[in-house]
Amino acid sequence: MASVEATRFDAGGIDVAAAAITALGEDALQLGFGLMAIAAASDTAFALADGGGPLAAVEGAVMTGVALSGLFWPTTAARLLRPRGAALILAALFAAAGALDWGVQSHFAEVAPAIVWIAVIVSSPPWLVACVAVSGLGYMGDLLLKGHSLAWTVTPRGRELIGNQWIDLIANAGVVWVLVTLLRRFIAGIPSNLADARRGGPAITRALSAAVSTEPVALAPGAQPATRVASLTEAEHRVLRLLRAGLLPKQAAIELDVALPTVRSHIAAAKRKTGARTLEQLVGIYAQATDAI
Amino acid sequence: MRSDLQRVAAHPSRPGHDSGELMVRGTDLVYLTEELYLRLFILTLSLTAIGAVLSVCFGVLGSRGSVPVTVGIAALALGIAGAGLRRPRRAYIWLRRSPLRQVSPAAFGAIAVLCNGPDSPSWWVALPLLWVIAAVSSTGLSVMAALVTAAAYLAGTALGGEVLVRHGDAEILAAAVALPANILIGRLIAEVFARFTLRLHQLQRRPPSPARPIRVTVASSTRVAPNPPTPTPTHPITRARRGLMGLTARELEVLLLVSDGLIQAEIAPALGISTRQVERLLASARARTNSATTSQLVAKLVSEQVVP
Repeated sequence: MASVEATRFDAGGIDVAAAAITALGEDALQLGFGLMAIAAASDTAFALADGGGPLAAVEGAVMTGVALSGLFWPTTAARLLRPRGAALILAALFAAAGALDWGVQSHFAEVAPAIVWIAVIVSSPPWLVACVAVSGLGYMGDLLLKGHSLAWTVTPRGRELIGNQWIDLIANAGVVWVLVTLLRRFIAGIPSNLADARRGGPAITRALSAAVSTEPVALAPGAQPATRVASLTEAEHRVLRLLRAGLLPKQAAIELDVALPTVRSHIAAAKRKTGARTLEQLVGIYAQATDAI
Repeated sequence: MRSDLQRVAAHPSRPGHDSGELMVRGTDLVYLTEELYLRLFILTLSLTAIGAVLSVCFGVLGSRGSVPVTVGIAALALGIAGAGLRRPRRAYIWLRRSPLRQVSPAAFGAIAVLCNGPDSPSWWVALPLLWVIAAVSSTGLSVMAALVTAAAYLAGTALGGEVLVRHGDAEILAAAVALPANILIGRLIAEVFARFTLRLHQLQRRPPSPARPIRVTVASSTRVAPNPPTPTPTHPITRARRGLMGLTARELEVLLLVSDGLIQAEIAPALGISTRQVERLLASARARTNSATTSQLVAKLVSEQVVP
């Protein structure tokens, strides 16, 4: 059964699942750069408010620029990041920003998860680990350089666990990796999932399960929209044209200078001929057929 | 990356509705989108369980909050997450049923951060609970829930005798801001991937062949005008990005079921929402697309190939 379903997911020799996963990668990459742009811009604002100075402004501008470039040109970004380890360049950029940032901790903490997100999309697990390690070193670079403890610090509010920022970074990498893996598996499993649902298998609700397992109207033999619409009379066409343009049946009756029951009877006849259940479906079938002509 | 997509798009033997396309109608896409939401919901429940463990770790290792209260809240959160993970479909539908149920995880999170002292470690429970809301609810409701939780976190800190900004350290304010910010990110992720799923059928389609440009030739001329370059076929995904008409994933789900001939009384139980919510989604979709009637909107979706 699995191979039969796999063939059905194969549109003319091309694996749609593979194409979908590729497309998903592009969308996910764009999302990652979007998150990086937001994080970099807000972190720059915080850094400047915290007395970060011109260095923080330059670092923030560079990271925001990189993120916006990836956001607006995701295909180019994907091509540039395709070589293995290219994401390390981004991680190194972040690490440099962290190490140059002479505060107690890096001002650009929020950018790290976004970089990890990008690394998850474009890299394999070993490179991902390398990216997290490089980002983490930058994260804590200034602490190492100044000889601070990597675990604890004392703030005005008392003892603070610095190590939780390492945990944040690793946890973020883990969550994003799980999310992307989940989506990839979901797409790869679409054929069997949908086939199960068509056989009345599990769905979120019983009503949805019933709707999916019902044979679609469009699949009935000889029931293509154009064929079904061809049998409509001129009067029915006139009514449907007006309904498609956004008129209510009552308005269509006034426009055509006929009684409302006449319009309703045209609609009922058109529904019968096309096999539509509702007025909305009827107009949809009509639009599909007339667009195809 | 793009070559596979172009091969799919340009392949001559495009299967039609009767020749084995997998996603042949709106209901199929709605089913897949709901399955995706369910998986995201399971992920957020797992994160709630992890957050509960982390809150105990930070409560014990750090010097914040009351350890017994932190442990009690974490145990309760673990129990809720465990119950949800045991029967995820039932839990998902239960939460989807009404806005009041949808915000119930936030109510628990808000009470937790309010009662557990200043800079509460239960923040780690409240955050994933807000993600749960992001997986089942709308952006507006999710953000509102996050703002209430953030306010409760700040109120809990203030009631515990802690100042919100001391000697320039705005860590507590940043943690409060992080709640709505994270929820917005969660909604963004859910929306992007739901919209991606709702246009999966476009990968099955061959884009319409571009019309030949009209060429005017002068009879006396002996030179033949060079052939104009053949326009590149439209990238299916790029076309899809333009073609969703600014509708949200939830609105699209309802409209896809409408286009398949389901009435509101059938759509509501299929999506596990009330008929009032269905009406509201349809009204906002009509407003977004400047459509006078739902029929006109369905016709527009068909023309834009948003409907399979």
